[in-house]
Amino acid sequence: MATSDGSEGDEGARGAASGATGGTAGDPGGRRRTGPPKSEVLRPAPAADAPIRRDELLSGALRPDLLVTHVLGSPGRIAANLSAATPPWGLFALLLFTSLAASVPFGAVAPVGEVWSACGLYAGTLLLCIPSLYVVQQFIGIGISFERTAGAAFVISAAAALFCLAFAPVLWFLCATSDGPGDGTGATVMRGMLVVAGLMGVLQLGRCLSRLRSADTGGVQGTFLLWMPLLLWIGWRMADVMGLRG
Amino acid sequence: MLPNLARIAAWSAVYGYAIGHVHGPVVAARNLAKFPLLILVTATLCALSFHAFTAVLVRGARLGDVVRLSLATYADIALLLASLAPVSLFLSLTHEPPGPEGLAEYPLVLGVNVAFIAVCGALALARRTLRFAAEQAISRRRAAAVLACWLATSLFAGGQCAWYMRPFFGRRTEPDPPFMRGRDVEADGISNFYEAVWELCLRP
Repeated sequence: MATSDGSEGDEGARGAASGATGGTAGDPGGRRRTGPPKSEVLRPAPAADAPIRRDELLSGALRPDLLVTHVLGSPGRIAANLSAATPPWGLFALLLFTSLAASVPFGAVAPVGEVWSACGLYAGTLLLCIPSLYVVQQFIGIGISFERTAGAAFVISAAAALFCLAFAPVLWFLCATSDGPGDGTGATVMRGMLVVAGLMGVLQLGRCLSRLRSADTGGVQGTFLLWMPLLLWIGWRMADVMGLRG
Repeated sequence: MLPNLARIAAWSAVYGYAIGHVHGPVVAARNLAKFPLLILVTATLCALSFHAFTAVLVRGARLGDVVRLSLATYADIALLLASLAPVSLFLSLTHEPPGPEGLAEYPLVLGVNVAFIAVCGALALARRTLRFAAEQAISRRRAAAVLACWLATSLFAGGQCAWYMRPFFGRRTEPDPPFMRGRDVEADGISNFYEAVWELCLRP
């Protein structure tokens, strides 16, 4: 599938390169070199536009590293699930599960808020805002089902929650090694991490939407774009209500 | 993975020993354990973040592969630093130590070693970027973005880790520095790495 950032081209090229002698691609002057040990090279990925299978979704729920691969590393596959003829309930369930579970470790080590604060910030904001998105889409005649709209929207909270999970060890270390839970630095860093995670979630949604294949792709992308200021504003308010803004 | 861990431990211990001689043999001997520990703790703390950033930018990235790649990068940095250990040791042994009048050449030695670490980090990252781009058949921009995210995360976590494990150098005016200062607050009220950087930016 062609995309604006050329990533599918990258992936296609990688497939070709995987059969070639390691390290020849991009080698100046065409010089043949032996390449690094195989253990240092990332393994080839499955097809970029194949829907994520049910067994992969199930395994993702059991293994956080596969969750990262599916949610963050497979925007084309998520888009394929969202574009498929069958309703993407499995994907929706996985994204919801990720949104609820993955940010808990971050909340547990955060110096401000409760264990569920990060989860409430992202998933709660989406739950408040998804109805408006869906109703507007139906109102202006974009024929996208609720589970597809919600599935796409929950990419934001799932990706943000996974970034929170990734940042949790660093935040824990900072809080454990600086001047106690009341120290302002830990809270400031936590807020910064929440912002970065949220923005990465929005970025991930953009990557998924750019790979959607449907008759109304432009309309879907446009409504998501128009909806984004509302989402960000409610997210800002939600952070305030949950005491995360300080 | 184990060979890279061994390389990191060995090469970073060599460099740690050299910089510890700014204070004396005791701090140098402690650095044999502390400097490898600094790198390994930083790598551990950052592993999940590395995986998340890489997964966004490179499809098919798996945690094990990312950890192997990041350890290889850290091993490169440790090797480059070890190659500068003789220079660093020479500076450590010959610099004019701090005294009652002032810090003398101590800031110079500190600055030179910080520059060494920055240059080695940049060189190792640049080399890995080129290889990574070739291996994955992705654009150099994308490979550079992955490694820039790694660098930023490493600096963020590694800075605080180094702060917690300080001193790695140590002024000779302090005869018996602790093994680690940990959460001790400095005389100017600074309690962590980020406050120290902030203060440095405000009062260069």
